[in-house]
Amino acid sequence: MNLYVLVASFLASSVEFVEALSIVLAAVAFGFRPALRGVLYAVLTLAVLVLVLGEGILRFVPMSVLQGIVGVLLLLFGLKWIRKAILRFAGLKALHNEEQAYARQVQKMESSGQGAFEAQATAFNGVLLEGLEVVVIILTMGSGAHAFGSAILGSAIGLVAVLALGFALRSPLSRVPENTLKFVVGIMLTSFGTFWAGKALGVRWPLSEATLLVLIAGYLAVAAWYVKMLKAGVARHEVG
Amino acid sequence: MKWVRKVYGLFVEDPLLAGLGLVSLLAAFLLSRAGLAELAGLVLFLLLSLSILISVRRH
Repeated sequence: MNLYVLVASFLASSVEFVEALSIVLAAVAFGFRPALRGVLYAVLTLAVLVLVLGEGILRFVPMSVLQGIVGVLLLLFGLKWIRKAILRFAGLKALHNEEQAYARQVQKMESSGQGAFEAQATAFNGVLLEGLEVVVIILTMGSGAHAFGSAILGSAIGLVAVLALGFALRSPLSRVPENTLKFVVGIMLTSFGTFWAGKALGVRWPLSEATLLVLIAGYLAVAAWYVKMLKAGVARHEVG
Repeated sequence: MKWVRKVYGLFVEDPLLAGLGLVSLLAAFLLSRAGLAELAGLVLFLLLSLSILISVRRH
């Protein structure tokens, strides 16, 4: 069991599941059965994708090459998240709000006036797109560290936790500190990506896997410093 | 084509940041090939941190 992978996969997947749940809840308002059908079709599509991609990749691509590709993809994924999180915390980008996203989705479906079909299509699209990100997380984390079990388990715990919370609250999960989670996940994904891509390219990390903790601390310090710096810039701009 | 864009969007939001990230990896690769495999890690971290700074400052 790889604890680093389990925690990273749990946090990253939970963020995606929270977003998917908001979309599905909006679709449920227009019909429970069609929304459920949309979710089911999306889950089946994702399962086929994981089976084909996962099996295909592991069978035909050497592990060292795979680690390199996965590291680069994970790094790009992490850089995207960390950038977004820094901009959000510095006040240069609106914070993500699940209640607003839910209201927007309901309004969009009301204006289309197609009811059941729209509910099914919305649930399908939402689950497929957010699920695709979960698939990327599981495939990259799992193959990068030879820890598919830990990546899948982390993700499954995230799914159960989000479903339980969603059932308990019966509303969009706006109380989940999603923006903070995204900040942490961005730092973790960037650290994992740096570690694996670097390793595949010949970098010798002095503390082996424990270097991950140093990278996480390093990126956390750097990101916090950037947020502070950008916030000061925004304040100066407002005064000026 | 729409799906290609979606998959691209999964990994890239700011093309400059993605490009700088790849250049940082190239620098780390060249350093490790030159026999400086331990220094390459530090350089990679610093270059990536700098790339993030450039990207967020030009937002």
